[in-house]
Amino acid sequence: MTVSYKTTNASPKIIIQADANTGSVVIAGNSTVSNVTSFDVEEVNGAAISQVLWGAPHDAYWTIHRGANLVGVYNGSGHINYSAQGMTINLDADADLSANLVGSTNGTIMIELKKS
Amino acid sequence: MRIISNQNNGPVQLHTVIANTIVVCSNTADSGNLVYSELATTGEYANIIKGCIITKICWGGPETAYWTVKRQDHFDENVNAIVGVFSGTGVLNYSSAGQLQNDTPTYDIILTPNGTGAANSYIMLEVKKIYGIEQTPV
Repeated sequence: MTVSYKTTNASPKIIIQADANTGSVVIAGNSTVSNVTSFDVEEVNGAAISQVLWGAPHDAYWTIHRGANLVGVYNGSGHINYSAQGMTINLDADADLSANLVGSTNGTIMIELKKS
Repeated sequence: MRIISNQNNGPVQLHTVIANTIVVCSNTADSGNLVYSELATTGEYANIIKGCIITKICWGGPETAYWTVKRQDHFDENVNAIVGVFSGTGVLNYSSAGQLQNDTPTYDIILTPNGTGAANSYIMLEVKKIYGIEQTPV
């Protein structure tokens, strides 16, 4: 299993990339708490989902939860740019994020979030 | 149903993972006047909202599940208009396609997940509010 986080000081974006269930990714908090801070003194209040790119067999799907709440489901393979649609998913933006692959062990997902 | 954003005199964005009916404009039993809308936001008079047009839909679920979107007359539950059926995962931007989903805009919006795995599905809508002229405070 690989779960990686890409962050930069110059951009308030996070990209979470995974090829299996992510477990609980802590979003909110300072660098000692949050998994997605980009520098030592950063404090993240929350992060809204702006894009999702995913791949899985046609009968499998990814789910994204914020805390206990389901916010997105993605079957097969595709790309949704919520930000470009003006519909960034800001629900439970301060809650932990988890992505889970259902129905297969072969899949990838990239989740872009915008920090606040 | 949860509201992602709701702007006074602007669009409303909604999200749900379960069956839901969005009350667009309803009446009270005693007056028969249009007085209530779930689309109203702070600073906005609910009873001037006379309808809404669906501009965008995002949805997702297992391949065996699908969402139905219907418009139902709030005053006659037997009057339904099927707006669309959405399977798998996708985005439909009626607005950018120049084909606004403006059928029966005064009717409530009924969102229903169907099929195997429907419990693991979501849908998001953006709607544009249509205003009338009555201005009685909520």
